[in-house]
Amino acid sequence: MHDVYQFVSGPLAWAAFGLFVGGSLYRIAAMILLARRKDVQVFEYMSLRYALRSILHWSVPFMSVNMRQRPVMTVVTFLFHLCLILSPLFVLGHVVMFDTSFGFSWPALPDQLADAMTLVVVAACLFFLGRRLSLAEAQYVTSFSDYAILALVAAPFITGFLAYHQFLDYQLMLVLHIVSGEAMLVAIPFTRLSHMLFAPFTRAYIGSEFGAVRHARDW
Amino acid sequence: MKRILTFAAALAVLALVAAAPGLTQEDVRLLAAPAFAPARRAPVPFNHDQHNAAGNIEACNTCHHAYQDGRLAPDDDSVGMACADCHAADGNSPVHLMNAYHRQCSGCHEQSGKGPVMCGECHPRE
Ligand code: HEC
Ligand code: HEC
Ligand code: HEC
Ligand code: HEC
Repeated sequence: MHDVYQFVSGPLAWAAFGLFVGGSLYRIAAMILLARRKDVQVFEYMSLRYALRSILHWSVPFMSVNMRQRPVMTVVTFLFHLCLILSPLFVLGHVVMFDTSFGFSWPALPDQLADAMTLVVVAACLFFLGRRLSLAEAQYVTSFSDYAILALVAAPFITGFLAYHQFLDYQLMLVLHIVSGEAMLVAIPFTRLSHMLFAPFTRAYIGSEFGAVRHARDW
Repeated sequence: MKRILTFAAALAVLALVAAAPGLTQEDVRLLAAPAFAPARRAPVPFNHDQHNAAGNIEACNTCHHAYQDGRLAPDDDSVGMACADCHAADGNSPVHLMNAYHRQCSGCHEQSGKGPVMCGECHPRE
């Protein structure tokens, strides 16, 4: 198991980060080139003021009509994204590994808080799953890949929780945690998870068009 | 009553002996440097003599190294000093204490393909 661990935490980790960064740059560059060729207006409408205004209204809980209409979904979605992004960046184990390898570190979350945030992510995934299974309107637009993506997102958090607490087979859990985390990272530029990259652009464009062209709100 | 008092006195003497400085390497069983307090991970089981015998590590300065003018002094050692004497636990040391332990311990384990390398193997939960 040590050979596997060293492989997944060494070369495979480099490959995963490389694919994530390279893939993300490629997807963003391709999108900009496509817009240049097919949709030049995008650049003409773009207005920093209206872009930021829209991003702000969609980044603060309950600042849009849509969010006020679905309070439960809003709370779950915000907590989910907050914990999803912050806990991997600030969990002690990751900071320590970075420090050991590169001699560079930043403050880590207290263990209990990181643990709670992990459970929030898993609970939110279960909530999204339940919603897709039970709501007709959601079922209508759900395909197999939606379930796969939910599983892909939940997996590193479930295995991370088990590994941290050393429940079940510790070595196996840690390896599964690393591999599933890498899989999720690589999936970001190449699946619907790419909304992480594109959301700011989409909002900026819609905000600009609504603000500068239609003189209307987009929230 | 008398027996209890004798017992208590004996315990006190034992405690004093245990707390006295001058640990020998046979006494090193668990690494829990006070500099880390409050520690965020469990102390690390490290049975000094048994570890070095099992690992066939003969030179003390493989771990208890000494430096002169910023260079490793291969014929010198720092036996008798704690790692924390030279490696500060805060960021004010080129190699701070946690990195000193991690790089030395895991570094050798990774290279030799023997010994623990995953967090929880060195920091076991009760
Ligand atoms: C080869 C054994 C080994 C491995 C593997 C290892 N450590 Fe350690 N670690 C140590 C030793 C030894 C110390 C010093 C312990 C002490 O004196 O309290 C230490 C200290 C620490 C400390 C600072 C002391 C404290 O408890 O706050 C943290 C945090 C830590 N390790 C986290 C980790 C994490 C996270 C991992 C996995 C990424 C890890 N360690 C892997 C041996 C190891
Ligand atoms: C694998 C690494 C390693 C090797 C090899 C090694 N030691 Fe140690 N030794 C340690 C560590 C780690 C400690 C605990 C240091 C600390 O508390 O900071 C220690 C502690 C000690 C202590 C107690 C120091 C104190 O007062 O706390 C003595 C004495 C000692 N070693 C002597 C030796 C001698 C003599 C040899 C060679 C025969 C040797 N060691 C080889 C790692 C090693
Ligand atoms: C007498 C002082 C002294 C003691 C005691 C000492 N070190 Fe060091 N160590 C140094 C110096 C000096 C360096 C060079 C880098 C620096 O300036 O911090 C260094 C570098 C290191 C490095 C990085 C270079 C390398 O060899 O990989 C590690 C790891 C390390 N020490 C671990 C330890 C551990 C573990 C202990 C306790 C067993 C220990 N040191 C005890 C002085 C010491
Ligand atoms: C120079 C190489 C080397 C260094 C440095 C080293 N180890 Fe080891 N360690 C080994 C080897 C080799 C083994 C496997 C021994 C065997 O085959 O049982 C081992 C095994 C272990 C084991 C499992 C067996 C046991 O003794 O319980 C632990 C725990 C361990 N090391 C902890 C540490 C810690 C903590 C440090 C740092 C303070 C450290 N090691 C530094 C070489 C090293």
